[in-house]
Amino acid sequence: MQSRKKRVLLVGTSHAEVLVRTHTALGSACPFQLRPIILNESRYFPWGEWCGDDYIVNPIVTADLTKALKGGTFDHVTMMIGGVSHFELGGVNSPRLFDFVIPERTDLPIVSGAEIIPYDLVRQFFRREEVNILKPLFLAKELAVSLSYMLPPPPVSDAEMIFGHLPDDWVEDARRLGVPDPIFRYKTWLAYASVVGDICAERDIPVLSPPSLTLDRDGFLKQEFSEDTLHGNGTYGEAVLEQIASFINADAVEAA
Amino acid sequence: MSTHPYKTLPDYAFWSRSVALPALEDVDPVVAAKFKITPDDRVATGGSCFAQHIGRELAAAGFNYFVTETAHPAFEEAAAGFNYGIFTARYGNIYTARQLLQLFHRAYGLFVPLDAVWHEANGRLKDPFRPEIQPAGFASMIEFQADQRQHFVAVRRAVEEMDVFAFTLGLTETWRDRRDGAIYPLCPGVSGGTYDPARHEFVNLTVDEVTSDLRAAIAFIKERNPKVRIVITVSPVPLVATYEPRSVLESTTYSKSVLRVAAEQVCGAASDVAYFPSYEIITGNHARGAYFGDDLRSVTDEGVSHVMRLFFRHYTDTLPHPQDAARRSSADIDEAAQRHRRKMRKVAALICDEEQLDGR
Repeated sequence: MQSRKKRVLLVGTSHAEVLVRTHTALGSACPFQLRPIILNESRYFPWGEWCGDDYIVNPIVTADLTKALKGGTFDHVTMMIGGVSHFELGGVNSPRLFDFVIPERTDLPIVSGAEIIPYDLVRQFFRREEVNILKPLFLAKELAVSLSYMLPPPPVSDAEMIFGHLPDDWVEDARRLGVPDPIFRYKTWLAYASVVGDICAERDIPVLSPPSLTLDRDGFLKQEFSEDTLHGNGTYGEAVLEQIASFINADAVEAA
Repeated sequence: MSTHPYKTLPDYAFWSRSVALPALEDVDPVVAAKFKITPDDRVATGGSCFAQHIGRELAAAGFNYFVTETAHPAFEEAAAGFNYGIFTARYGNIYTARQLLQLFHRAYGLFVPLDAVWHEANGRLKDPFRPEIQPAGFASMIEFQADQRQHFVAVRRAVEEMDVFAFTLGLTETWRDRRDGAIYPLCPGVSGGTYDPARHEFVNLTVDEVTSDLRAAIAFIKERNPKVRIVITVSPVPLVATYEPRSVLESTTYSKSVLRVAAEQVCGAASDVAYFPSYEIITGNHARGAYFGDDLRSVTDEGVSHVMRLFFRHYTDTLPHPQDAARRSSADIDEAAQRHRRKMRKVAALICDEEQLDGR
């Protein structure tokens, strides 16, 4: 008798959509069943927003997630929420040029003439955002048996590539202010990933890093895995689906 | 009927008429302001913690509170605790006139303290001269050095461009590096660093020393910014602790007395250096202690309001237009950076929305 395919609930924003598309394209070749809750869908809009100092998650998101998880039909829940805030800092140069130093990576160069922002402040920026954006993840932690958080991919190293994916009204700004050095963009992702890793660790939520085969030796996303300046493409999606499958199997072995 | 010199004196010269009889909120010991501050004057602040109120209240009233070291607009919302805007530059509390003078000297490269940085046990770095400027110190030496360079640029800009400097004298008791005389805002070991009796010594500054340091600091500014006007105040906040072998109450009286006398001597007949009696407004008998909080140290909001009301009454003629206040709330480059950040947030969302469309 053939064993039942594991059932995975995928909750996410734009980064998750490529997984849905890839899963559909793979069909029965994918080792697990996938049910997506894509928070960018209009029924959830806005799925979360700042109201003054409070970040409010749309109650429909909470209700749908709770309903899905309380049914107990999923073997694993993986989330790909957010993954945008590093782009806010690293998409186009700020008129007040800045950079920062990651203490574990002092080998990474600093943008010449840039104002140096305290690393703790950079982390605080990300923490303030992510500790709120990840609220659905914390809810899932309370309700799910097995849970993981999938980090978004790092940027590509091609500074020119970003131009092709900026909205038209931003191209002029990008030309005027410049697109940040790839290493700066990579640093914003590293800092972001470090903060998200810490937030998850504090809640005992496993974090899956981008698959190593998708990264070049410097840690950038290889161009062949990139959809645009922010998201992975279908090939990246396949690698992530495989990674999730491996994690579920390892998790199941550990649980057994 | 006999006459005498007191007969013709105004009410403010008499205790009963100016202190005992008026309602608390009507007590006004400011007799005459030496100069006026206009809404466009760039007002810099520094000093002990009481000085923080001055900058905040000036900004709230729409005056041109001069901040030369602002949080980057991209990080403003997360910057609480990093001491941006508390004072004109991110120097933290300056408790003594000597600390102020040494800050200027350090900013201009005239003094390089031997005790340059504290290496904490957790790998973090602290600035001995502003140990509480960041919640957990600095993450790396590169960051520490870069931040200090930026800070000194901001201090130099403040010195050279401010129109008015409001400085609050806070303490006479301080700690000093025996080797080069560097003054610490806090005793090493309290908020970083390691106390070493062989290297660190306690000092309780005298009237002559405070007067001399304050005069030197003012002269330093005036050499670079001759038109600057100075407002000196004495913090009404008592010492939190004394290292003298006596009651903290007695030490507080000594310290505040020294500071008040030094302020008097420095301000004297100078037309552009004024003493403003915030100390008297808060601690005077008329207040019956009402301007102190439950800890008998913190100044209440009502006390601060009284001080600032009189400050505005006497040192300003024209209240700022609300639009002017909004206009000067940040520099052009910061406005551009703020717009940029908002736009970037939108762009990030837009790219995600586009992805959403692609997926359907």
